[in-house]
Amino acid sequence: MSRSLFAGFILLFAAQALSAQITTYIAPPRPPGANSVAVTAADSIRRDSVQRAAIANMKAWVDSAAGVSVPRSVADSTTVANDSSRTVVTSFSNGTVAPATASDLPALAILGLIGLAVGAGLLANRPRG
Amino acid sequence: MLRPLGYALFCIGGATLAFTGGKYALGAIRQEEARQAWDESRARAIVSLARRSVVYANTEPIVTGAPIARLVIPRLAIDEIVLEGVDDDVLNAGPGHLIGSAFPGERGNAVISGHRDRHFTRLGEISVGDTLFTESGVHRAYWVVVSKRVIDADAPALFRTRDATLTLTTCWPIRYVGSAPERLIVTARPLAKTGSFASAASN
Repeated sequence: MSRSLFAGFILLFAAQALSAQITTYIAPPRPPGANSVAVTAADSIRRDSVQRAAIANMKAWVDSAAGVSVPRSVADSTTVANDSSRTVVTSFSNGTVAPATASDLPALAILGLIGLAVGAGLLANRPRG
Repeated sequence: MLRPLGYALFCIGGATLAFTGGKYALGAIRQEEARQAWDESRARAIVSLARRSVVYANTEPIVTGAPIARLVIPRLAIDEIVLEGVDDDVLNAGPGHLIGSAFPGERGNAVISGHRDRHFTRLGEISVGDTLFTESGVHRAYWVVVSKRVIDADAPALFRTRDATLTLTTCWPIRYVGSAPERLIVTARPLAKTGSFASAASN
């Protein structure tokens, strides 16, 4: 006991006096029964979870690194559309009619054009005399 | 007597033309904005993929009017950004994805509708056997047209499917003046080759 205390004091004060640094690392003894494969697998799982956590926090940073600003009115389309693991999402009822894509704009444009032309014609034909 | 009538017709015709022209112009501007937003989201996806950091939450709802996919029919030179929803404002800006239908490339029936006088003007020229592709997020799906039919506007047109299906709809006849009474329904099935984002990004 006294020997180890003495050795500890010598190590502490001598190292300070000589401005030395202790750089050697002695690994603790491996616990009995620890399989190297299992340790590797556990390590990779831990790293994966750490990476996922970091990624989740880094999404904003990645976006900013890309120099991209997200418009407020526009949703992040990649959040939903790219996930191939989604199951069937069809929720409309069978036999739904096609969406109302009928547009009156072409007819309105033609009517407007006709009105404009006829009006211009009437204004151009001033009564003579 | 004719002069006031001429003024009235001129003004009403001009206002109508200005309204329709403005509506078309607004739609074109919004389609361009959607394309830019799509390109930006694609760029983000590329960066994220390059960093192996594609971890997305799958719970966020999609805003109506947000760009959700890109539809390309090479033979007809159709290349449009598909927006979420099929209301008037959305369809004025681009083809709309029917809310509740599947997303292109996923299992189920993905329904995309567009106006015949704007984005689907040439859809009537499509033929069975034509190929097209869609991009949604990092996924590109190739499709082949398997059917093309015309039905009444009120007839049942859309059905659920277990497998991936793409349905394109627009009004019919294409050149009809007024509210078209029929619908053109184009159905496509996925081709065997499905693209990875890397190949899609390189194009």
